[in-house]
Amino acid sequence: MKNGGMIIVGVGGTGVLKASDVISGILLEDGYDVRQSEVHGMAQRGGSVITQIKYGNEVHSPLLARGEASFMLAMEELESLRYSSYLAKGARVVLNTWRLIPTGASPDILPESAAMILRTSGYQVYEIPARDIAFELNNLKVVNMVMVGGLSGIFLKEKETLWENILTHAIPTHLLDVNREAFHRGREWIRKYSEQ
Amino acid sequence: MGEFPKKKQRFMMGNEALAEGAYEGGVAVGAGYPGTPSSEILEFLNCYSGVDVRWCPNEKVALEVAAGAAIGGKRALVTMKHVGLNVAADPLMTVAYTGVRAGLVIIVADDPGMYSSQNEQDSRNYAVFAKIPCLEPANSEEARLFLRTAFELSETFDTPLLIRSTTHVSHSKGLVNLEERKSFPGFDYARDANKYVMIPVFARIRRHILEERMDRIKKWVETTPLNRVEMRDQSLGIITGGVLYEYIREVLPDASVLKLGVSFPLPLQKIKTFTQAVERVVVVEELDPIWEREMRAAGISVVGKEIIPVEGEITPDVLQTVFGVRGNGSETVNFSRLVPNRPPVMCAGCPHRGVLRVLADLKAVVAGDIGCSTLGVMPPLSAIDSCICMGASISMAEGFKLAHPDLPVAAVIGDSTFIHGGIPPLIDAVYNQTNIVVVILDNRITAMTGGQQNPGTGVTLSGKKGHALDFGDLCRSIGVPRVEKLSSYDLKTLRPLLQQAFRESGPTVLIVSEPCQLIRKEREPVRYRITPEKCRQCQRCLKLGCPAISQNGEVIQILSETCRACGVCQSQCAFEAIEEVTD
Repeated sequence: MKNGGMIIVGVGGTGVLKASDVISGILLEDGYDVRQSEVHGMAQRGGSVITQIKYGNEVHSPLLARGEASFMLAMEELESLRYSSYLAKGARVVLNTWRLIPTGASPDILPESAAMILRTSGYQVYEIPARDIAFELNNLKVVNMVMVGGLSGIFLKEKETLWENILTHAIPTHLLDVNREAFHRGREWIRKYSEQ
Repeated sequence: MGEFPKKKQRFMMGNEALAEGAYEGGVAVGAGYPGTPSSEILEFLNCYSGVDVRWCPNEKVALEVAAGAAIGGKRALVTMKHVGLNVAADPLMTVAYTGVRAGLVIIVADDPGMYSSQNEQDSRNYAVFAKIPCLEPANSEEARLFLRTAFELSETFDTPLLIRSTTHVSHSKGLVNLEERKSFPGFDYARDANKYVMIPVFARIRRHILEERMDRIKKWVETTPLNRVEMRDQSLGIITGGVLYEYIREVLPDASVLKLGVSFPLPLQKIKTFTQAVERVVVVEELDPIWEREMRAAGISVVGKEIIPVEGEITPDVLQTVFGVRGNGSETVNFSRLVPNRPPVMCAGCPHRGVLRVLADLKAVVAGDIGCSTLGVMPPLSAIDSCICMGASISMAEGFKLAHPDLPVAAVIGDSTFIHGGIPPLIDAVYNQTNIVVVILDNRITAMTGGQQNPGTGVTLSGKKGHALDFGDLCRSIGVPRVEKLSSYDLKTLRPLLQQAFRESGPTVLIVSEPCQLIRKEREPVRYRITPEKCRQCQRCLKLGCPAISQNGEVIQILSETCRACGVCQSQCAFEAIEEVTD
């Protein structure tokens, strides 16, 4: 079991914490030792948010050093660039194509495509229109589960039953169906995306 | 989360593990005031039965409630953030003299790097100052273990005990082993005036006992397994504690480590032995050089703040740089410069926004306070002139008025903050007849810390309905000559009220009230929309800094899924370009 790191980034209120809990959950069930860091309080109010997960046989630090994340889950496009220094060489990035322009920033100064920039630097980028998919499901709160589903297409991909179990335990019963649907749409999207 | 039944192990946030440990340790009373990164401890503790858990108006009250419970015979826990301990410092310094009967444990959560705080003070200083022991867990499992034994330690040494957490202990998750709760029925009440009535004649006796007690604790720290030596490569020895221990294990896996679970007092003999066993010793402590100074005073030669930063959070990155460890970071990119900052902002529909806009438009001097309203300091609102500590808005507004009687001066303060520290300053403004306007931003919750109940809501931490404090009645009863209540969104009434109040003598209180968007369950069935033909691009709506309003080229838009239909932008538009639409 090799030590690994993952970061989940987004904007306060985009379900970063819940997604992180689900991912840590499956790692634990798969027998990994896991440490996860979070940010609460003021930083959550629509600000930029990051959680970090470290996993392996025996891990200590809940924080990663730069260059230690083999995976990134970006709930918002621009945030993937903000935390790009955490990415390990050749890291894989699951990227929501949704862009939220920071309040007060001029759209003209923003880069055209985060995916393009990250690809040019040798990272594997998997783009998902997670917000559109969640919109189709009539629930913008499940964007995070679309993204987690996407991740499941490239990370612990074979552990389908485990993923199912984790969702059942992590999501309240009355929200389970829509979250499960979101998860499968994301997973399916990445499956097709990888075939292209 | 990811939690499966029948397991004796759970993946827990540090704050949850602190609560679990306190429960296992036999705690009967928990009190505190919310403050990041400490707030969740009591919320988690509330999930256990057999513990009386409560939010108090402030940390001083909470510590006194807990001290009373402990002296009365029940194990008690009190929680707060670092700056809260300043508020609770008064009882702390003297409860250190009296000691306790049942265990009294104070958890203080520091915020190195100031993720969510106005300063980054190092709370270990309070342990030194009050002459009480301080324990520092490194992770969730230690958080549980330390709390599990903390109450007994407190009883053994007859002292309040400080537990120092930091952001990345409190707000990180790891596996925790669960154990049974220790049975602790409590002690009968026993009057002991010599011990608990700190008049000078008794206090002088306790003052001496304080020193004797510290001598006993200093002997104990030499042998307790809470301080642990891990010998590996002897060319480098690290003395560290708290979450920094975990970072050191990753960054310098081969280094020998003396891990201090007790951060005050220090096991100086153990430290001497450790330093003799390794070639070079570095003290890795976060914030102040407290250990380093004490070691040097004891004649132990160490390296510390010459290479370890004294300010800011110490992260694995910082340690890699300090120790010249080439991690993977040397090959990474950094595109963060390509994206503008995304600071926290007031939510769409936040009831504070319009009020702050009007105050800024009236060019008032605005003394701010702790809470979400502080976010109004940033452009485009640029409405807040000062923010120091809980309750300071009102008293500082008085000072501003004394310095400049000709200027319009207002204080803005949230409901929970007003109850915490705003009432004595308001009494001062009435007593000394200071002409200020106090705006109580009553959003019916303690918002910034995640939505805790407070005396203004009348609902307790355990969900019981009690008495809801009426701000109007309170203000009138202390003699505020003019008290007005209105909706936070009714800016058309607010503006003339403020203008008039600035001209009056004596203080005025305006209670502006609307619930926080985070506690509103139902969305309004209406939204607002900008009619492009009517919009003159004056940008007045943009000056609200609402995340729902943005400009894309020539077009100003309201993002319908973000809009919470507060109507503040409509009241700001001079051209009637903003209209209501139904979903």
